[in-house]
Amino acid sequence: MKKINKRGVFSVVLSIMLIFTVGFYSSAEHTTAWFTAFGEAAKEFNMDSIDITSDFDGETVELTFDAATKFADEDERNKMFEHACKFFTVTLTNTGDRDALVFLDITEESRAVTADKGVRYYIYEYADTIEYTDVIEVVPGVYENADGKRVIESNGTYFRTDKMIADVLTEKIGGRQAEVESMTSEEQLAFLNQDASSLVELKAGETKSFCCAFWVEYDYFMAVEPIDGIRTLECNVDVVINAVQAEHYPVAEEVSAE
Amino acid sequence: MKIFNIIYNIVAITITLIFLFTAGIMFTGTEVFAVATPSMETEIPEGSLVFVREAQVYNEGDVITAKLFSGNTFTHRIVSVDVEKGLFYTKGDSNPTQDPLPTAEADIIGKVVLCVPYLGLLALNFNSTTVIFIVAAVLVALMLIRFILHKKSAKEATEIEKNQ
Repeated sequence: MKKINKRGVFSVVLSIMLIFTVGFYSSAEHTTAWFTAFGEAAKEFNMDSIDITSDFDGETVELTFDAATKFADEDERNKMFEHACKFFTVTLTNTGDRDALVFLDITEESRAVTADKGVRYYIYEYADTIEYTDVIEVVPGVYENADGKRVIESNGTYFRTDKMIADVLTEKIGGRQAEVESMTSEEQLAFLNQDASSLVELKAGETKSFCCAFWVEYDYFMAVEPIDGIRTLECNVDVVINAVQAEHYPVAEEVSAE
Repeated sequence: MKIFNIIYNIVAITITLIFLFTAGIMFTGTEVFAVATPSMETEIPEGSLVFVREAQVYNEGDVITAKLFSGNTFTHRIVSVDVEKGLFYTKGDSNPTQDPLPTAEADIIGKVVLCVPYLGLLALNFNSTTVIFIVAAVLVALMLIRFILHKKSAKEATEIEKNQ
């Protein structure tokens, strides 16, 4: 009887140890991951837990600029000349059964090249409510700035969008990526939730469109040698799609528009 | 009976060793994560359990677990370090490009010191309460069966003694 009791007690102790150990390992937190796709792979973005399809036609966007803008200048900030800006749209559908956060971006290589040439970009969630044809003023003929240099060789029709002025037009546009990169995760969350267009929640089954607006700053454009009196700047930009599972994404409270 | 005792002893030693290992992990502040994605194949396959410990220094080539702004965590390899800004650029081994946002040192939980394949499947597929309940139920059932069998054999032994 004594032997059985000793064995019995030991069995109970072993059971408790087993339950504790199994409980410990079964409560381990899950890790997720960033998934990145570009080029043909971005057509169907499947990385096991995230399924996204897009109408992305390839990894490279070819851009030709024949006009520039002076976005960087304080007094020019609310003017985006129509043909100084090139738009590229990609539509994404989350075909999986898990919510995802999607972040459209430009490759490191492209950023290095386009930054040299003064090409700027802003990526945002496309919305029908943005009016691109709100013409404020028509400037006929040739536009000249205070230095007497030509910027646009045709009608200087320009337009603005309220969203772009409120959310885009800061001198940080060119350095926006560097700004985000130097933040901690909490700061990134606050920044990205304010600038929520760059990081978009794509729920399972949902479809959203991203728009990339590209433009080139005047100073860099004027450094390009004109051919037959016409200045153009060509560059190729590689776009990438990044996605992460959105299991715990804390959505910030709505920021009221200015 | 002899075979049963041998098996029992082996199981007991194994459970005790694993328990002591687990207790040691908790004591040293090592954290445990279940890898839910295949981004670090083949070194850390999906379903693995990784043991992560805070380090003094993180270098290129280290596999780290860090916090993401979304509240999740991720486990990827450091591919470059910006010492000046204190930023770590990471990449999943099986991802084509590096991660879109670097990680600040404050967001790094630690370096992966051990990876056990498949052990994370338990955490990934089952709720811990359910697992504990099932294991406890099985153990109680086994103990009951053993108790009943032992009572039965003891009764039989007593009857044999009486008859003799």
